[in-house]
Amino acid sequence: MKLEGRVGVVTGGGRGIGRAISLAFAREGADIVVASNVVEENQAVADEIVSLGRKALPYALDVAKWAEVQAMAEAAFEEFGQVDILVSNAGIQRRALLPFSDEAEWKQVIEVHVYGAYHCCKAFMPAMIERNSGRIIIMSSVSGKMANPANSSYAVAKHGLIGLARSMAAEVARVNAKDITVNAICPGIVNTDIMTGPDGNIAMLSQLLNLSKDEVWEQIYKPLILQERMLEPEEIASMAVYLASDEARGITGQALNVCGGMIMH
Amino acid sequence: MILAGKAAVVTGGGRGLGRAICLALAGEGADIVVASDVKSENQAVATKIESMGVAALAYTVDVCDEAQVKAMAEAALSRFGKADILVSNAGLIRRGLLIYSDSDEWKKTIEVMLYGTYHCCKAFVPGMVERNDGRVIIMSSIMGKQANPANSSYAAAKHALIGITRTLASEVAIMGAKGVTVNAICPGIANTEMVMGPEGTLAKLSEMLGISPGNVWDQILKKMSLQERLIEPEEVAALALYLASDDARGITGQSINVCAGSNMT
Repeated sequence: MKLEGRVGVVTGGGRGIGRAISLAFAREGADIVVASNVVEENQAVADEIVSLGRKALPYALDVAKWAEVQAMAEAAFEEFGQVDILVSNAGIQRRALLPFSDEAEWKQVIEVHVYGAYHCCKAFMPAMIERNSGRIIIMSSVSGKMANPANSSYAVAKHGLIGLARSMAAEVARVNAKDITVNAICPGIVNTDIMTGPDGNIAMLSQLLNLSKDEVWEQIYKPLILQERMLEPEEIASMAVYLASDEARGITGQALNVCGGMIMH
Repeated sequence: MILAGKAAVVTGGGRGLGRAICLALAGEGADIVVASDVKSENQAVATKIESMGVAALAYTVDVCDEAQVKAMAEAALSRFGKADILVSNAGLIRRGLLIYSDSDEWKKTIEVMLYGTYHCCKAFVPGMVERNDGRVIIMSSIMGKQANPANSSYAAAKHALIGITRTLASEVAIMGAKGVTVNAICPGIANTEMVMGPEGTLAKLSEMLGISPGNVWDQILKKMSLQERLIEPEEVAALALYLASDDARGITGQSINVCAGSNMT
């Protein structure tokens, strides 16, 4: 039980990586606020957490709206008293070549990822700083460290999140809250809806390039990955558990890749 | 016991980071080859491991000598049947400005760390590749990613170890052994003999700069990290344990910092 007695908030917690992290934290003894903009998914994950013997608060919100994030923080503090771990993981994808992109959609990707993380950190960090205790985990991506053609808004958002993580890590230390760590996780290609779902990358590229889904995997994605496989969400979750644990108190300001060897920087 | 049935070889295992790693891996059920060039230290660690209920082989070796490393591999295989985890951690430090350095001493640092790791990988990785199962953990340093004034040989070796890590990670995957991962750990300034001992960084800087050890700490070393503290060997060991685990099977080719926020690259 590495997270016994802790409380975690996981945005984008209703599916994919966020769901895996919520469950992994719960298995390690934490109670969880499962937050996303899909009520049923939040509830389903909350139910799973309760069946693991922990407490869960499902919370529906749009992280791009400051007022809604503030309200979530209030609800979290009222329900659990304090929040020890923030996993800012909410994200969307709107693929397009930049010159042909829809301006509102392009900016929306930035808003959900970057403003969402900004809002959550602003809402939860002050109390962590006061207690000089806390863990912030920001979900970046290998796209935060490399090009992502036909997905510039995603690359920009994910690069930006690394800047956010590094700066906040330095900030908490400057205000003498040295027991708070802030890190980013950079997953590679993970087996979630964003990749394999009906509107996911593989389906989209299959349609766009007139290839079968297998051909998209074989010709486009597999060659990028040393281990030639997709990661399971649980592999990302295990890095999150490690970073949230006391053993990782000396790791801060980092952007750690869990990517099957896709990138090494 | 996440490493039950596994056998690990840890060079530089008799003290400091290596000793902490031996104990952490043994604590999760792995049998350990405790290897270094100091017989008494190896034996002390081996004795402690045996008291924990797992098997240990104390082995005296100079990793610069390929024949000795081969003999160690034979002894390890003879005793434990296989080597699942290699922690190549043996290291040496010889400080001084490059332009005034002693050539033999400068090169010795490279030999112990770089050639030592090379010899160990040659000796142990073929078995891992054959079984398509293994973990190689190479001890680099934040000095593998930044300048290290008055310690150029150490910086050169630690940078080079990242090159070996990335390349070997690619090679094992290309050879089809995707169940083998190769990663480097980059500790910051750690609470070991190398830093705090009578011939350590603190003492040497005090001597070189003509200021008290207390002032070396306050004015130089403390300020290197955001958290203004030394990393404990157990913190490095915790990362080694994570990388050795099945949970981290998707992490390869990485150079992960445990550095209290000293380096964010």
